[in-house]
Amino acid sequence: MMKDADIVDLYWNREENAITETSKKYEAYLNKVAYNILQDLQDSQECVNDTYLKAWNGIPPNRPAVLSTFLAKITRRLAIDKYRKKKSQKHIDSEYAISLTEIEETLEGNSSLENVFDEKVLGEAINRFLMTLPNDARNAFIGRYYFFDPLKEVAAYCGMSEAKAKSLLYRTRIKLKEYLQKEGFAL
Amino acid sequence: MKAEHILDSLAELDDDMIDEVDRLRSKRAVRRKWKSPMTVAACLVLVFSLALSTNAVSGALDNLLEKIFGIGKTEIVAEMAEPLGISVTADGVTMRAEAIFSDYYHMCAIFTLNRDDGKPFSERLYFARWSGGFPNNSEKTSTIKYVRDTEDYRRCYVCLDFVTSEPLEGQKLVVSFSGLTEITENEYKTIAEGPWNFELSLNIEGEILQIPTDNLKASDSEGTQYTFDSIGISPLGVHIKGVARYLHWSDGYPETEFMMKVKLKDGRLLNALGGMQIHAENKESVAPFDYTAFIDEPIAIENIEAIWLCNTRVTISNFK
Repeated sequence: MMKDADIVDLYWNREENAITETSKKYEAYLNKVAYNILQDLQDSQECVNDTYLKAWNGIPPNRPAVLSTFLAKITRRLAIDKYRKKKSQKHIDSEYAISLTEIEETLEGNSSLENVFDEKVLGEAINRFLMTLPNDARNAFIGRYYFFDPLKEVAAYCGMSEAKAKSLLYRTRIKLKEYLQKEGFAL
Repeated sequence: MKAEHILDSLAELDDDMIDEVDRLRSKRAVRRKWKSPMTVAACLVLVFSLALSTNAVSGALDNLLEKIFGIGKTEIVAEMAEPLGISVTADGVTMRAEAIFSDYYHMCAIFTLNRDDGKPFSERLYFARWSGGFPNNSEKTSTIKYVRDTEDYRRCYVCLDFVTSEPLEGQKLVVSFSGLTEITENEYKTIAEGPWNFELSLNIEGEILQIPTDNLKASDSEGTQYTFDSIGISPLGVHIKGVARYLHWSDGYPETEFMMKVKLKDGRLLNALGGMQIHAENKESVAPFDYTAFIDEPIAIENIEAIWLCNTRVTISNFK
């Protein structure tokens, strides 16, 4: 399997086998990212194919240090967009849908004001918050709400029981709500 | 602020933090690769002893259902399940349709996968391609779930769920699987191409609770109002018909936020997330709808205390 740096070089040299090598190494990984959101193999595969195209258009100018993270961000965004389009027709039972409910139940407030905010500013605030957390709480939060992994899997790779992971995630969401309110975000 | 905003903004997370979690995720996959000689030896003993028991799991439907649905749910599911035992072998992998169960709008089929060479399956397994449905019923949504047998890694279960807005009575499930693929650390490998084709008759069983709907109304967070003509609940899911008013349209689709939850007598609140079909062609603001959904897990009807239809609570015990 080719190293990430070599694959990135292929993109920079505009060699078309960049996509083949990316696919060989990351197809399954990216399919999992999309599948957690869409719960549909065909839609997931379409997102992964679109990811390769976006990577082709994005490298250069980007030179990602960790290719998997760079690609997963693209796939995640594409899959969430597809989820929203599909959800307007039908509900989708996916880990993303469950994660949304979990966030809604603890973090969504009753403010009737239309909140205008920058996604980047909010993301940076959440970054700062996550840095204050112990490793296990931070890893579980990112596993659940960034990768949308099922609770069972998050618990397994964080080395804790499912019940502990569930309660840790709940406490983290409550802490995040308090933190964002303190930072001046209207929830 | 909406939950979507928070999840969207996580795209801005620091790459190092994401990478740290990613390493944990893949390390777990590596641990399952049977590198330790002791682990391999233990597994061979397990495989051998189970081979002697001649397909013990496949022969016992209750045991199989317990592995998939958990001990507490086995009885509920077993009452509805029709044992099948239809096998198809391709490329050294045998797929066996074990059981099927259904109410009028929900169906679940359970299959077992076995490798004929006795090797264990990878922890993550999926079919690259599968298609299925009911020849005379096009309105359907499906999900597929893979459950590894934790006591015998040569075996994996495949659960196929369908919800439909048209009654399933008299239907057959026609389904085809191909491209059985294993996922190991950052790579995937097709271990058998297939196809495995099945045609299965449905067996509709189980109690349906019809809830009186006189003057019952609910409204969702988008301001859409619902009046209900019929609400049926089975141990598997719900089927609702009614009329939606004040529909908002966006990009040619009605924006509805209808949601349903089931409150059990033990205090648990289960989701019934599924498909809302609005029967409108010209962006009408009033249109008939039907909503079909699986409940999070199979339930005994007598254990339901109430249901929530968006913001409206309906106490079930009043109707029993």
